[in-house]
Amino acid sequence: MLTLTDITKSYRTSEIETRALDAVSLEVAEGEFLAVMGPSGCGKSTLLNVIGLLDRPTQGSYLLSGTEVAGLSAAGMARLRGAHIAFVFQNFNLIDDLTVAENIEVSLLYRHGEAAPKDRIAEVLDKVGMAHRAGHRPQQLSGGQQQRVAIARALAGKPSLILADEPTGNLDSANGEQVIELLQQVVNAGTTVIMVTHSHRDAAAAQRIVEMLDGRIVGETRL
Amino acid sequence: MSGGISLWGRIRHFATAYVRNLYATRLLSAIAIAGLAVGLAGALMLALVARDALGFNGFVPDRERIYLGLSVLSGPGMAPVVNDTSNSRAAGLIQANLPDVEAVGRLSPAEASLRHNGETIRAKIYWADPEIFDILRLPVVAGRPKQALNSPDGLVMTQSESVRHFGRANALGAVIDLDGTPMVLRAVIADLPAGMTDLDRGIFASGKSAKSSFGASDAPGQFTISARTYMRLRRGASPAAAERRLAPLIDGMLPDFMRSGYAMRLVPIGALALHPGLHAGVRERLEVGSLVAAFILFIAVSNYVNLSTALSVRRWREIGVRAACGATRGRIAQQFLAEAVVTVLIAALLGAALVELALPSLNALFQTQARFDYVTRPMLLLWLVAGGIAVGLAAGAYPAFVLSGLSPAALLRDRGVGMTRRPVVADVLVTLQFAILIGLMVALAVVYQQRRFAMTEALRLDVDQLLVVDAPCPASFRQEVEKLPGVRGTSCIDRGLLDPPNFIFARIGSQRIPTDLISILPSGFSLLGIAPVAGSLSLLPPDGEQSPRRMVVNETAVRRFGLGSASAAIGKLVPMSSDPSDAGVPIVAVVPDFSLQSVDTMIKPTIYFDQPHSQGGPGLVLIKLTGRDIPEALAAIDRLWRQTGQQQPIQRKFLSDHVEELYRNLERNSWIFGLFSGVAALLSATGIAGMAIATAERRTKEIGIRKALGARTDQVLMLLLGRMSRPVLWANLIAWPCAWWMMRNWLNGFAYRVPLHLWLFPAAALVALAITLCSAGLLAWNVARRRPIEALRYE
Repeated sequence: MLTLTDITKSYRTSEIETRALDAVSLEVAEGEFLAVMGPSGCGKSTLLNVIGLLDRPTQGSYLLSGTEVAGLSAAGMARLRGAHIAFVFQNFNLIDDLTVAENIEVSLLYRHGEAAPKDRIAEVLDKVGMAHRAGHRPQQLSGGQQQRVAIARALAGKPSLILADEPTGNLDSANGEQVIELLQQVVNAGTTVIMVTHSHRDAAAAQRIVEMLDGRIVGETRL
Repeated sequence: MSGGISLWGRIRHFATAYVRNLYATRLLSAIAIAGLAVGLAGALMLALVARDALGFNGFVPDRERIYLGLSVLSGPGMAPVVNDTSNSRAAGLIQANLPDVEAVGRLSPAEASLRHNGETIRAKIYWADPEIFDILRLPVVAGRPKQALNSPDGLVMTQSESVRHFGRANALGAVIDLDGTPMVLRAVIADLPAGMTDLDRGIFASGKSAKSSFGASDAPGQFTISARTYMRLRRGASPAAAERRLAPLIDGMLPDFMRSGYAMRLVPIGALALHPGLHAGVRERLEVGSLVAAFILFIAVSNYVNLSTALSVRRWREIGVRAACGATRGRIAQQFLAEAVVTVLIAALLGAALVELALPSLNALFQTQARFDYVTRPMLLLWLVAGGIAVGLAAGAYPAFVLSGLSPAALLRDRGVGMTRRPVVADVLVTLQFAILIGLMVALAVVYQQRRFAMTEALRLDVDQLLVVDAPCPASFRQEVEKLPGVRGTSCIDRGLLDPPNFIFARIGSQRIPTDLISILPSGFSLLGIAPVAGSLSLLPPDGEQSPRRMVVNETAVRRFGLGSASAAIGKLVPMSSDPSDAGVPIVAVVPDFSLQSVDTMIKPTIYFDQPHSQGGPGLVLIKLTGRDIPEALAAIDRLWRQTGQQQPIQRKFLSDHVEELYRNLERNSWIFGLFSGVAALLSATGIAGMAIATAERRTKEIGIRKALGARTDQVLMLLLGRMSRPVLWANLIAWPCAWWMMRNWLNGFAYRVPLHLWLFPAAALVALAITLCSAGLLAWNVARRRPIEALRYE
């Protein structure tokens, strides 16, 4: 699905250079469920941003479905993002002014091919058990419900890769479990999922765990 | 990119996002939209007024080749006097001698009694040459206007005049009695658009009629300026060259004394509305108005830019999500640009409604007849929409550029990263906004001071309770009025007090000095509050003398005639005509300069003499009231007017009203400045309040931290206010020199003016600062006193 080779990401302010990713190499197979773990500030989120084409690596090669994307233009990155990748965030990132259904519609706006968007929205809401809340605003939902909507949004565009950044970080354990279950269902349907997490319990749901420290991959466990 | 969602579906989605955001930020959005509506309304109204002025006579074919001959009278030390009529015989000379002129024709304005079906109507008409319709090819409804005027009894009317006199729009062949001569309506033309042409009447009577005023003015030896002379030049011909060839021909007709003081100038009929000699102050008002309207629009647009950039904080998450879902920078920019355009179009709609309400008042102010006629001229709507889109794109460009450029990764991780500082552009816009406000306030103060000066000190007259009655000093009326209890005194003066007076070129040595002549009874000076600075008025007979043997002069005359000091001038002889054999009459008194003409013209040397007024001729009776029981006094004066056998109805007015009228130009300028400064202040205040709300929101976290670390409410308040008032202080650096330069130039246009007081500048700055502190202070106070935990929890 994707291959990272010697990916480096540095941030430079006037005096200090911070290396968030230091020669990271990683291969993820199609349909794999990968968990990325490590202490705060070790570069997990930066790695996710680079994989999700939200950020550009300073150095290195990134092959997505066999295509080199490290040197793509911003517009090219946005198009690939729209076509293949979806995100689930710790803070849900639902748009307050839009209803649940309209939030999901956003992920269909910038992509080709969905012939009946209304049906698709209903389908994914049904899948996460939120069909009865289609007309609600995010503030009217609990944290767990909001995250389920966020997963429905990620699923709507039928992406081949879902990137989840601490998806259970703001949830209680019962809601967290539901979210992990949903992600497992997604993987079972053939979608690749990369999840950043602090929780060993959540990570245990994945097929492989990658440990990071100071911008480097320092360990790998297959489950 | 064509997506899976239909175009309509996408429009619906973005419209929903836009409307919900607008609703969520309704107070600040309302501030921004209302400001834009006012700014756009101002710009639109000025554009409508300017359209009429610049498109003057635009409905006349070949407008750019058609010229009106103006008379310009000038002399050393006098402001040129421009008249829109010229000598009646000039047309013949032009026809015979100027090959560059294709056609020439005249209109002579007159009043006539028109009698039809036993009803008489007094109407304004033109006596017209047939050629006039060759030059001014006005839209014809029926008949052939040129041929119509070829017969001495021919008459051409506009449709509405035809309706007024004959009851129908096309009354060809109808006969009407014009000053006792039957005339036949032989052609009808379309109505002339009001305010768009110099032609102010719709009846054209044949100049070949025996009654025509051309007959008298064409007589040799006469030099009167009474005809409007129109001409069309050949294509490519130069009006300046035609003017040069015309000059010696006109000189040949002039009496000796006028030879250096008269010129005929050709002015394109499209430029008549803004000609400074014909319509004083119109161009200035239009320029000032356009500048101020541009300022207001700038303030409104910069308010919008600032508020929408600041308000976008709440949309950072949305932008991040859209970017994560595949939206390119261009598509995010498009969304915000489209929102800006829609917002401005909403504001334009409100602005258009404002124009409907305010245009009549603006027309009164500018003396224009601008119409918002989008029904009859749909192009206007198209322009309005195009203008709205252009303003929307300009206003939306910066926020769209900034927002689409934010890093989606940072926006999605936590709110607030990427734009924690207020953008420099916002500071620049607020600074410029306040510079404009300070400048407008200085301008308003200067215009107001100059107006007060002009109406009080520069006048040097006591016009309080002074009534003027239009009459050639009827002795019986004067005597009776003098006895009334509410009357302090009466006197007589000629119309030169109010209208441009008669003038001569006084022969002083080898010089010919233009000098005003005003006839006034000695008592007139004291009624006007004028006391001589040298000599005495007591030597003059109180009721005048048959032929003047003594004169009073003003101080300017003493100076210009080279008579030394005022006291040295007493007894000197000054001629009262241009006649070389005139030995002159002695000066018995010198009075201070005073004038009831406008302050933008210098006071000329003036000779006052007293002649008997009982012989008739135009004149004024001055009546000074005591100021008690004014309505009773006025009623008594009106009664005496009838009782002493005066035939015409009394025409009277207070001199103070005349002064008000005289300074209406200044008055209008102060209105423009006052009105627009008020609007600018309001917009700036609301803009600053909006910015304060946005700043407070953006700095909530910082305030929380400061308070958690021990800062007191007043310290936080000072921090916020200090930050908000900084642009106002910077604004002075721009405003002071610009306002000083502009107002100094403006004041230099007046012969008598107030000094440019420097204290006005810091005063205006203080007002601007007060506006900022008042509008931002309350909000800042609210934020500053919040408990720190609320602020920190926010994140």
